[in-house]
Amino acid sequence: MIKTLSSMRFAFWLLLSIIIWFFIGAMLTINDSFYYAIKEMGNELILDWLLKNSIETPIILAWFIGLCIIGFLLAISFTFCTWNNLLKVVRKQASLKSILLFTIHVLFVIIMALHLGSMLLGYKHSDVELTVGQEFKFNDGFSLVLNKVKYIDDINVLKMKYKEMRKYHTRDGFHYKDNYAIFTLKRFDNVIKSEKVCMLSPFKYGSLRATISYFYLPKGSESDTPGVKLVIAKNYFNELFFIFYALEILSILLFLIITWKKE
Amino acid sequence: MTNLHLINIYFITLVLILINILLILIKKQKILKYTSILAVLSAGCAYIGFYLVSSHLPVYDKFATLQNIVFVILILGFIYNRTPQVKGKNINVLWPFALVLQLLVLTQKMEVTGDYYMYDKFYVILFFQLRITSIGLFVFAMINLVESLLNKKNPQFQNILIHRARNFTVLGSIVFLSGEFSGSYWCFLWWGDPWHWSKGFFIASVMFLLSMLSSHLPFNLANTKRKKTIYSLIALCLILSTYLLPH
Repeated sequence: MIKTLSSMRFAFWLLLSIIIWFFIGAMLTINDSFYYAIKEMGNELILDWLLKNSIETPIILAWFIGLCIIGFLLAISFTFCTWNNLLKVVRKQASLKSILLFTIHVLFVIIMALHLGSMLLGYKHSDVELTVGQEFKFNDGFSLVLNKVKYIDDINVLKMKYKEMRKYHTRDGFHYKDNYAIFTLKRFDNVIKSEKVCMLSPFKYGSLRATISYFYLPKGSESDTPGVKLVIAKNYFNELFFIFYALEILSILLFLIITWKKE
Repeated sequence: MTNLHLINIYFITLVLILINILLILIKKQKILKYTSILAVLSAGCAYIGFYLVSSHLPVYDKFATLQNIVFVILILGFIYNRTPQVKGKNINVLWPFALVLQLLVLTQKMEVTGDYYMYDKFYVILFFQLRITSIGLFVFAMINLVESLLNKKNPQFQNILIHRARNFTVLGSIVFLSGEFSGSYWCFLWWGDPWHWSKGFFIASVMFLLSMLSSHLPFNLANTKRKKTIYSLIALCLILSTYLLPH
């Protein structure tokens, strides 16, 4: 049994299965209703989606469960292969090559575990719309208040549809560093932090992040001051994810360098 | 410089590639040495031209990205066709590959992507550029594998080609992963998460996992050099096809 789980054949068929599964996922997005259902998955923590909204789209739920099963088996295959084959080689004949091969696989398993962690722990609120003076209350007694918005570019562009709007959001048409919002983070009405936030420069407080996705004009409002669309998320694993991801790239690179050989 | 200039440069590169194929067919290797330099220069001019016209390096439009891929493989061909150890054993199959990719441009809208404020950011351009470069590296690995299948009579050269294909497949994976790293950082700053459920994410996963396949071929499936070469070639073909899918 252990021999099968740590075999290359098992790993190969699982790799092939997960490739096919992801490809099916990509094909599902061609259908509009599935496209929005898959987009919905990313709007909140996967655990919350599973508990609340997943049942509304059974095909996507079935696809996701299939992905979890293959992912779980792949993690088992990688762990067993690393433990049974690669570690044995390291113990028997430790060389830079064998240590790196072992490290690459261990890092891959860690990255998969971090993906799993970020799907289960923390929280995420997407498409939060705030105009000046409004407050959004969320987990653990936190609330985020939008104090001020400064928008120096053509406000009429914000009335357009997304695809049309994009044409006007050139480097001369949209000054992302000069358009900003000022937020205050409170916890049980105690002010914790105030910060100026631009596009691509989120509000940060520990592992909590409030990211501006867009500026928008509220429907029916006569005001010329836009509001902001936000993603508020608490993710404990983001920094670790980037660190291990970079380490993985470096280990593969080092492995390639030492095995390149002169032709 | 205008888009019309870019179209002109495109046709110059296309004609030069065709001339090089013709020179291979009539076995004029000496002239090919010089015309191949011209083809690299022309593809290089297109690359600089994209920047001058759109104010950014190629991102996702196939008009620019396919020519960018051709530029990558022509540079690699230029380097490797001059390696002393394999003198007289050029990778001639590189030219038909370049021709097919260059001809594919004709099926696309011949216009570069417009400006976007996020193209100011280094990590955004890096995401697109590393992905394009990785495809170029994967195609170069494919070229070496095809050449190895055509060189049955020279096992030494065949081994060199297979090993080189392996190196460029792994290098392609590293470059692709680095591009995804930049993309994740971009996604993190824009959408609040390093990745999100989308067609783009699924396609990227398919491409990376396919690049892993060739290094995880079980012995019972790929028990001969030829079988291993063919399976690796299939995986690389699928990566290229996935990239060419509209998304």
